[in-house]
This record gives sequence, structure tokens and C-alpha cells, in this order.
Amino acid sequence: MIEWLVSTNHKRIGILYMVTSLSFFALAGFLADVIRLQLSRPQLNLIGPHSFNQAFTLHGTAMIFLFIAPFGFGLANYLIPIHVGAPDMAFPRLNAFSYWLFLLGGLTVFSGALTAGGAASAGWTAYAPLSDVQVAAGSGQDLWIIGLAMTSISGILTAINFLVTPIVYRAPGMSMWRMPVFVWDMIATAIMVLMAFPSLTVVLFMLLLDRHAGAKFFVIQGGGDPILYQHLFWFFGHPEVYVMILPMFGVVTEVVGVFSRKPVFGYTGLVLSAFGIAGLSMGVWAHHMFTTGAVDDPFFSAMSFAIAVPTGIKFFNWIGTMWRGAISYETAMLFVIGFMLNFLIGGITGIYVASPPIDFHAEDSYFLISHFHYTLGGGSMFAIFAALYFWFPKIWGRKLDERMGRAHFVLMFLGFNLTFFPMLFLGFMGMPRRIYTYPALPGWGELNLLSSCGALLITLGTALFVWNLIVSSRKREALPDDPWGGGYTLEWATSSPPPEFNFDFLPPIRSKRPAFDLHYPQYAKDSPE
Amino acid sequence: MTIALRMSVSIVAFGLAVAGLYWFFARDLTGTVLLGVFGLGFLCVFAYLVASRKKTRLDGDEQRLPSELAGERIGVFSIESPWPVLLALASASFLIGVVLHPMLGAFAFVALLAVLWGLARESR
Ligand SMILES: [Cu+2]
Repeated sequence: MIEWLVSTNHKRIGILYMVTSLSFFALAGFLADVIRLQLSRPQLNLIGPHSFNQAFTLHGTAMIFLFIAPFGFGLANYLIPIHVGAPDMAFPRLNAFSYWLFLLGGLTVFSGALTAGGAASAGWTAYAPLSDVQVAAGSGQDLWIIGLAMTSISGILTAINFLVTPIVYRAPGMSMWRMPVFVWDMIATAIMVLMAFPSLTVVLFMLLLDRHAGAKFFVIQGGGDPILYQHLFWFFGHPEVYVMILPMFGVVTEVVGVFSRKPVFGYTGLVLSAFGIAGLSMGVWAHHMFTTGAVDDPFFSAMSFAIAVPTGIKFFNWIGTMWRGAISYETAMLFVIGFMLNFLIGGITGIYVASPPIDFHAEDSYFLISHFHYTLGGGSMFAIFAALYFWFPKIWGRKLDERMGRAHFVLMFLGFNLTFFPMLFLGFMGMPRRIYTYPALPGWGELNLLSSCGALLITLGTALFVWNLIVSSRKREALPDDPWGGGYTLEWATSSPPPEFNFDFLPPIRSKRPAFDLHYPQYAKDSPE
Repeated sequence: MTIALRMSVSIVAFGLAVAGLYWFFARDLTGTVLLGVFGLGFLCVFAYLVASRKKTRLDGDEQRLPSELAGERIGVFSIESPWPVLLALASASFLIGVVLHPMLGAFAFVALLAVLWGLARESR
């Protein structure tokens, strides 16, 4: 117990990050079920409007700030040093500090639920004036702001490690162009965090000053401007979307390569497209503000369309990797394929809403809800499960049960699409987001019921996954270094789980696939870079 | 030029180019400054990298194949410290205290100073 509290080892911190974020996922998932139950039939009043507002606020906040992004940080914490052949992160104590700050930040956000006025209820975006002191007087909103400021600072600190470690601590022979694509994706992510998160920290402190010190940054009567809030928030908020997805692009790249039994196709393209995405993501924030009439719609629309190009390159390269490969359908690979299918829908609906004429119709409707759940739920969450099945054997020394894993995938895939596909139609029928109940208009009740049934399937799938974790982690088996066979990257060249400083002996690194070269010397080829 | 340098240069160039483009289309000062700042921020990183280039020879950048270097025993890193978790607790209580409970804030401020002192002592 104590050794976990004081540990500065990157593997332990990575595990803490992942376990914590999965716990927040369970909480946020429970809140999603509450929301779907309330919306399952028209005119229901299971929970009142105020509780409903708190439920969707905490659901969104937890999924985005406390589950998806930090899970990526946890995985990166575990993998980056191993991937580049380093014994630990560049700044181990800074790393530990950022984890604890993240945990306390998350708890602070949720502690709002214990206050008299209840938790924050201004949505995960906390737009002023919804979040100002006249509308949200309770200290739940304050705790939300403080908690998120803590996670935001924690993200900045952890990004420093992600950037410095691969640049400075690479093992002999591990040149930059031999690093796994996952590490490159994390470098791009870290750069985005460093550019975007300060904007969130600043806007949260401005909000606090508005609420407690009589500042009027976002109050029109005082000469302030609520649109400024939206600018600063989305200058962080859009890159955050890619902070949640780029690490998962890295996961997909690693998993696809191993289970297609082929070297990753188009390494350079995968790396450069990560930076293309990171760069472009900084210049599209106001596509969330098309309907304010206060931004240059054509500019932001064009920039948003442009992101489809590097994203398309990544898709093309994954398909190129699978093409004529000897694909084996382990659970991790199934989740990756599910990721690709879901994220495709997320991406295509994204192109819809990046077009202002369509966005004016779809803004704040369930079409939008469906769109971003396809990218973050169907995308990132599926990739997170792929990562769990893929690296659990390395982290814990046991494989997760494949039969249960396949059932888990089927439940998740069906459940997810049953939940979110009907929402596309609800959106075009005009159902707005963030309403706690709705009239019995033609089709609305049926589609919402389908959606709620889907949520039930997702919950069952998740429960099965938890059961699988419990059962499989108790299995007794000794796993080899490379349990999947044909692993490329350095984690497959050390024991499962790895020793304290990751490698007892570091294999020679003469190509992009050092572990493969070690286990299959007959196929080993030195690559020039 | 190392890859790290090349990366910083392209980010700076990209940031400034988008800022210019945005100014050309939108004539909006706030957004232009935001975009410009992220380009300029990385200009500082770039300048630092150039300034410290001589001192940092990185193993990973070795162009010939240093197979004789592999298989070496790896050195020892510090593995535990009580200060990170204490620093997190102190700064969290300080933030919450300042906004909601001045007494807690004052107490946490003292704790924060103590923790920073402990951390500095350990780092020596
Ligand atoms: Cu966006």
C-alpha cells in the first residue's frame, strides 16, 4: 500500500493511472445508464431536471477528463520508457506528482455531489453564463472548476515527461525514426497538451475570478464577453479531442501490425500525419461556435475539412497493414476493427457538422451527440479495450480469457451501435441535447427506447469485462516475453511483467522491430535509420 | 539538424503561418494572438535546443550500429519519494481552501511550504 503511494516508477504510475481512469469510467457509465433510463420513454420523471443536469455534467466531465485522456496517459506512462529502451521516465517524481494531482482533481470534481446544492450542472463545457455565480451559486460548480484546473495542470506536467523521455532517454541504437508509432503519437499528443491545456487552466481561473473576486471577464453588463469563454474553452477543447484520440491511433497501429503479421505499412506517413493532425487541430476550435455568428465560419470550416486528410492517411495505412496480412482475430484485433468501423462513422458525421449549413441545423441536437460518441466512445473507448486485451499479458503476466473477450466485443459493438445510431435520426428530427424529458412525438419514444436498450447491452458487456479481469488475473500461467508471437516493439523483448528497470538486458536495436529481430533472427534485417 | 530541431522549426513555421492566414481571413486579434503565441512558444523551445546542442549528445542518435553498447547493465533510478503525493495533497487543499475555506487555505499554504522545503532537500 505505502509503496504505491510513494512509488515514482513509471510502470506503477501507469497502472495507477489506468486503474483510476477505469474506475471513473465505471462511474461515468453508471451516470450514462441513469440518463438513458430517464430518457427511455417520453414524459418520464424518474429524476428531476436538476439531477439530470448534474448527471450529464458529471458523465461528460468524467468520460473526457477522467477516463479517456488519462487512460491514454497511463498507457503511455507504462509504455514510452519501455518502447524507447529507457529505465524510467525523465522526471519520475514529476510523474508521480501529476498522477496524484489528477486523482485528487477527479475526486474534487465528484465531491461537489456531496455539497448542499449538488454537483456542477452546467455541462462539461461549463459555458458562461451557465457557470457564473448568478446561475450556479452552489460550491459544486467551484469544486468542479478547481478539480478540473488540477487535472489540467497535471496533464501539462505529464506531457513534459512524454516529450522529454523519448527525445533524451532513448537506448543506444533507438534512433528517432526507429521509435514505435505509438511513441510518435504520444509526442504529438504532448505537444498538443502543452499548447492547449494552458488555455483551459486560464479560462477556469478566470471563471473563478468572475465568481468570487467580482471580475467581469464573461459578464456583458460589466463589459465582459461570454463568447471569450467559448474561444478560450474550445482553443483547449478541440485539441483535447485529439489528445483523446491520437494515443489510441498509436494503440491501433501497434495492434494492427502484430495481428496482421506484417510490418506497419507507411511508417513515415503515420508519423507525419500525427503531426499534421496535431498542427491542424490547433486551428479549428471555432467550428464549435459556428452558430454564434461571431466567428469566421469559412476559415474554420476549411481547416476542419483539412483534418480529414491526415486522418485518412492513418486509415489508409492501417488498411495497408492489414492488406494481404495473415490476420488473426484475437479480441484486441476485434476491438481494433470495431474501432475502425465506428470511428469511420464518427469521422464522416464530423465532416457533416464541419460544414456550417449542416451544423446550423445539427448544432446542439442528438446528431451531434451521436457524432462525438462515435469518435470518443466507438473510437477511443474501443481502442482502450483493445489496448487492455493487448497489453494486459505484459502488465499482469496473464492473458485475458479470449472466449469472454469475444463475447464482450460482440456485446459492446452491438450495444454501442444500438445506442448511438438511432440518435443520428433523433437529431435530424430535432431532439435537442441536455433535455431531461421530451414529448411523445412520432418516432421519438421508439428511437429513444432502442438507444436505452443499447446502453443496457454496453453495461452487460462492461460487467462481463470486469468478470474477465477478475477470473483471468487469478489464472496461473507463465507467459513468455512475447505472448502474442511476432511482437515488434521492445516491450515484447523483456519479461511479462518487466523487471523494476524494464530490461535485465537490452537487445541490440538495429531496426524498427528490435523484439522481432531478437526472436526471429533468421528474418532480421538492419535498417539504415 | 537533429529531428527534434526539425520538429520545432516546423511547428513554429506552422503556427506563424496559420496565425497569418487567420488574420488575413478573420481580422480577429484574439485568435491571431493565440495562434501566434503557440508558434512563438515553440520558438523558445527551438532557441533552447540550439543553445544546448553541444552539450547533448544522445545515444539514440548514434548513426553507426553500436551493437557493442547493447546488453549493458542499466543504471539505477530513484524509485520512491514521499514528496510527490504530499505536494499533490497540499496544493489541492490550498486551491480548495483559497476559494472555499480561507482557514484551510492558510493551513495548506504552510503545509505547501513545508513540502516544497522537503522536496528541495531531497533533490540536493
Ligand atoms: Cu472540434
